[in-house]
Amino acid sequence: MEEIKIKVGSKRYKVKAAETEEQHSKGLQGISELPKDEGMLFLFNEPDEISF
Amino acid sequence: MKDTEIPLDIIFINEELEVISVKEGIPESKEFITEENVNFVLEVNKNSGIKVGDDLEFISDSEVRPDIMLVLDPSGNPQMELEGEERIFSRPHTKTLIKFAKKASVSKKDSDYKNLGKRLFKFLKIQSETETEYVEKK
Repeated sequence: MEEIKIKVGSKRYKVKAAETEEQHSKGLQGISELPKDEGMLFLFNEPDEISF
Repeated sequence: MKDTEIPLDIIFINEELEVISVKEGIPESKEFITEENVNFVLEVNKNSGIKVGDDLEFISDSEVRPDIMLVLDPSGNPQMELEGEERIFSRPHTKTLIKFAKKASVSKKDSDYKNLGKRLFKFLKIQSETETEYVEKK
């Protein structure tokens, strides 16, 4: 997965970009620790109703 | 949040790159959180401080690291990063060095390694003795 840098408000994060359906459904499953400035960004092609 | 072990903030973001809601992701929860008109979902540790109305911005590497200089190919794609103190060889010198390095790596002969070393120091000497040139900013 590609790592990208983003800013939300004043916070900066280094996130993994989940683009495929497979990556979407796996997400952060099984991860027991996440550094403060890291995360995952799920990207969708079209605006949609999304359940998490 | 099924099979997710850590408490997260789940941030829903629309097409205009604006945060439309921030929800708490509870570990192992069976419940789903649903939002409409979502283009991006960001998951980070909980208590992120992100709030509705915040903007999502994509940052290019050069903005994050202004101290880094990039070497670009003719189409503008980064080939490598420069941090300072590096030596850059000209294309003909690089070709020569690669040729000698290949030869030595195949033959494993001391004489070939010696030849490579000689060339390398010759090129370093040329660099050190060449006057610094600057390019005018257009």
